[in-house]
Amino acid sequence: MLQGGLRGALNQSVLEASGPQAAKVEKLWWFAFTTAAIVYVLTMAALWWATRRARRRELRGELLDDAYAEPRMTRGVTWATAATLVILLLFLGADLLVGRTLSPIPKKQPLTIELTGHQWWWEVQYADTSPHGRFTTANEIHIPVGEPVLFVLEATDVIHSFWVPNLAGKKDLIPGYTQSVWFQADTAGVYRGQCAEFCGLQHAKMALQVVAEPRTKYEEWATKQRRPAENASDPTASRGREVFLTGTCAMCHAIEGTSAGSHAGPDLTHLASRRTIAAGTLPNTRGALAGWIVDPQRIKPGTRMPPNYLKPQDLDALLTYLQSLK
Amino acid sequence: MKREPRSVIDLRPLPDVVFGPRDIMWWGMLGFVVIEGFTLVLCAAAYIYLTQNFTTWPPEHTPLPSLRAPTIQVLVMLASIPVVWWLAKAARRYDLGKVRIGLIVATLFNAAFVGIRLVELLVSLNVKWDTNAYASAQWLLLVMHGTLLAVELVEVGGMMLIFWLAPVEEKHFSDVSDMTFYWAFMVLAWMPLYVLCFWVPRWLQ
Amino acid sequence: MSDRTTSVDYVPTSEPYDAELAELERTYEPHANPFWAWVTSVDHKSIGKRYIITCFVFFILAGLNAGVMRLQLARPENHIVGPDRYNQLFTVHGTAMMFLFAVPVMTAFATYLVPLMVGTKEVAYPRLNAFGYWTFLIGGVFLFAGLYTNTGPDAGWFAYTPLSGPEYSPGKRVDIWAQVVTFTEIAALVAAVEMIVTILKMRAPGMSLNRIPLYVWSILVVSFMIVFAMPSVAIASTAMLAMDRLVATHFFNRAEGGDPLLWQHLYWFFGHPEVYIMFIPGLGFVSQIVETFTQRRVFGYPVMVLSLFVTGFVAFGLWVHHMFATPIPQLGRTLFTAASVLIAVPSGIQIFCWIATIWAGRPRYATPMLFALGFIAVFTIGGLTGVMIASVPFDLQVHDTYFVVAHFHYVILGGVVFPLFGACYYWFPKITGRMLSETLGKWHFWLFFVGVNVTFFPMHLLGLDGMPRRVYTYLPEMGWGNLNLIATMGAVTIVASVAVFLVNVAKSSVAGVVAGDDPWGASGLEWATSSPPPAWNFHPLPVVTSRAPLWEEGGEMPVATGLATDRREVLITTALDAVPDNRHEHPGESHWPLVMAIAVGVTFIGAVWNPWAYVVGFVISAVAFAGWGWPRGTKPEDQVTTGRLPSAEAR
Repeated sequence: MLQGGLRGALNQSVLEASGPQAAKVEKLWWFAFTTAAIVYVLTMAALWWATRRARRRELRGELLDDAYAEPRMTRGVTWATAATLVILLLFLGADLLVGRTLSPIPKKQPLTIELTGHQWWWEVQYADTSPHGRFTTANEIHIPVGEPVLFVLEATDVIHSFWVPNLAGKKDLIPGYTQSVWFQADTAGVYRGQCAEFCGLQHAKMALQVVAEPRTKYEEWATKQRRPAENASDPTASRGREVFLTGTCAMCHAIEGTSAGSHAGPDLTHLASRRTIAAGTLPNTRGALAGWIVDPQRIKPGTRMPPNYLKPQDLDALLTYLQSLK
Repeated sequence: MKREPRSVIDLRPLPDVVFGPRDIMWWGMLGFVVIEGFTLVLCAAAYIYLTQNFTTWPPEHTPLPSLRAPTIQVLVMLASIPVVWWLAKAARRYDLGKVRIGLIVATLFNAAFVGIRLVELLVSLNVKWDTNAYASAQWLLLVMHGTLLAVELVEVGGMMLIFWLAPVEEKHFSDVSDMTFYWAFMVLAWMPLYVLCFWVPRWLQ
Repeated sequence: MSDRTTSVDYVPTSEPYDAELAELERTYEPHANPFWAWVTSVDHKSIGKRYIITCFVFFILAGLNAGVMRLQLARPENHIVGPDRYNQLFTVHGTAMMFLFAVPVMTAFATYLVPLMVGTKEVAYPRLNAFGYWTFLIGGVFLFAGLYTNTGPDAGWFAYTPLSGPEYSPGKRVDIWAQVVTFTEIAALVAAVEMIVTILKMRAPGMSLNRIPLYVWSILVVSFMIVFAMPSVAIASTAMLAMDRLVATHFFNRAEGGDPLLWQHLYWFFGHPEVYIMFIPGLGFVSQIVETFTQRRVFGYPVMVLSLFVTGFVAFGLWVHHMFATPIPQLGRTLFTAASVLIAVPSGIQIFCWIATIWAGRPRYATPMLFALGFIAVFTIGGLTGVMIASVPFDLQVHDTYFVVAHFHYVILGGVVFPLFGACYYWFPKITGRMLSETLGKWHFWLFFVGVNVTFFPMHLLGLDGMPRRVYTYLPEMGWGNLNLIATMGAVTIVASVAVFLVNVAKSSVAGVVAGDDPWGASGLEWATSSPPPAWNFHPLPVVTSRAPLWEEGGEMPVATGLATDRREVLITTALDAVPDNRHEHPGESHWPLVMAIAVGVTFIGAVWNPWAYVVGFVISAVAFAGWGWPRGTKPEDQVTTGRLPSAEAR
């Protein structure tokens, strides 16, 4: 499952649909591609044929007079135009049909996730009717397989675009506007998405992951996410927690259950439960985390996180603490 | 096969100074009118687009614009039309004396437009451009049209100086006539914008 | 059947015209100092030539940007350039290609060709024409000066707000971009006005509307499009974005009631017609080339003209298809989808008519014709993917991915650059008097054809595989490396093809085969005068009695005589039937266009830093305007003194 998950995580193809929206678009694509290919081949064939006929006529020394040519050309152009119009209208019809089937969300009160785009990470808030039910995470979204999920999209700084090709088309996150999009994953797996509207220096490295899992597993994950961070048990982790709270980390990152409450950067309450860090740029391993913390500018030049030159023991403790935030 | 040229049309009798659409300078003027006119249309469209972001227009705590100077502006503009009409007729008759006087009066009118426009901006609007999007939109329309007023002042003033100080040629009379056509556009284009800037906020409050 | 390949020796050498031609030589004599003569020239041919060359310089510079981009993307996690430099590179690539090359090269060619093709001496406003060129040059230099000093704009060629606003693009980069747009938009509007008036009011006697060459129709349509499209971007960038950044207006600032989507609407209302503005002249080029190289008038003239108008008109109804991922009402989406799909019909008709013309004609495959055929092959692919992305659900998957990059490069390279290269080979003899090498031409064509396909076809696959646009790098695990590498190899091939072209131009300019008036056996008026044409283009003026003047039969060529030769006099005709109506004196050489362009340049460049530049600039522009317009008093017989009406003749 993990292996398959990893492979799936790096497949961002429009043509490997795992949900109904993407599947319908994939079908539309193949219809369009086939039609276009046929039209292209026919057009090029007509061009080729025209050049060959003209050449043969010239070799025979014949000249075409207008009385012969004009009505034939008129017929040819008229039929070609009519055929073009019919094909285009067919395509238009197919498109409108697909469009209509994709819009209405099929479920009342679906799971609702509020996504806020930032330069250059994704703030993810799970909406819930009770205040205790809400929780915040970043860059990694879990959804139950086979159920439609509603995403509510906003942005705080510039325009971003939420796009998980395996599952659905994209929608922009525009400051001052709220848009929504819904989709559904039909098979369990990890689906990679990427910001699809140029948003500045690190647009290229603003990815996210959608993990689709069976309902029960999703509920387990959500329950864990709702809990605040556990108190650090061993001394290294405690020291790490101190480093976090007394250093610059707490100025931007929140950890529920501690005094760190800033939402300028991603919420780290359950950092260790995520597969990747830095918006899908690095695997969530101790080494990668260390490199990221010490010098994020080397990995994502222009990112808002400054370098943090920590003493080796402090860094070690911090890493232990962060890796305990499951 | 060499083809001998055979003259079929003698162009010598054609006039070399004409008025109105026969003259390509008139067409240049028409080009300006269309381009600037459409620019103002788009500015008005943007203005209207922005109203949808507000529950009241102007927004709360933003004062309405005053009507005094803007209405004076409209009246002065309309008053200039018969003068400029008279000037156009004098130009068609190549009446040097009348055109000279007409151009002085037109320059004074145009200077008045510019002066009153500055008052409209700095006093009547009651907002600075950086207060909010409503203010920015108001300033946009008045400044864009105001630029036309300012450029036209240079043109009319320049024509006035030519007619008083330079050797005047026949074609300059045609240019004066073209200018009067532009003048009509400049003044008439302002009328709907005046309503949009100074009256519509009163209706959308 | 007449022999249509004979060139018609038009410039009369018989007695009656010798004295007139000699006087014309004196009238059109350039300034003694060749540099000053060049600077003050108002000859549409001289301006057209320098304009075309300048555009190609920008094409090469923008292409070099793309070369670096392709090197960076050839391998994942490459380190040739970082994100900041990459963002400047792609922004300037797009901005330069669109604003400094694709549109201006078309207006430049039109500046050169249209007066010759309609049988007149000059464009309508020669000094304005020169002013347009200088303004354009200032804008282009300003853009690249920014790039090469690390202050290049970096928010993309369409500079979406709020990213391009004062908060998220600090510094002067985007302000530079906004004013470059101003300069190029002024130049485009100037060219549009020139073309409309020249085409409608200055045609040769007898060239009624139904006898205008198809290329000239394409320029007329495009000029109207420029008039209605450019103001939109002018307002958006010069008036609104620049002001948001400079003096804190709030057009796009949501916090104060502004709207980021307002930018998109205004920008794309311009931006979509913009791409048709680039493409429609290409259609005109192909028509002229197909006609000459099949020795047959293009089939379906009225339908061809109507297609140009329909395309131009419908182009204004498509812009929202760039915004399908934003909140747009469903009805809007449907309408814009339908329009975006149906606009393919007029373009398709054009292609069918060309195929019919080829079928019925006697095709020759000289280099211009190869490029015309290449256009059909390449553009059609782009047109078909364009119809695909007109569909909202499909677009929402491939929008802002390399699929779209592939689409627009296919339509631009196919629809604009292929015809443009064809036009270069076709009209180079007229412009310079020498032929370009056919051998090098064929190398150029095939390298370009292969290069374009190898570079851009893989990008369709990359887009479908999930690769977004405007990314300076990508992870190795995405699996995009191989296709990107192939695309880069294609780019190298394109560079090679352009190099071959430049070598061809350089060599042929000095050592090419001498061309003569009509090396191709064409039908249009531009081939009825020498190569290169004299400063006054035609004397006496041709009179036109059909759609293909040089293919007419009969022993005598009708001409119109009587225009003055002691001054630069042009004929003004009526708009519909080109009946001679009046004579108009044109100005000679003048430095005022350059002075005015400098004044405008100071105004808008200054405004990047300080809004008072508008006030100061206005004053100096007014002075330049006065200098431009002040009468020189050289014609005492035309002067009017108090109370005296001019003679009846003058009226």
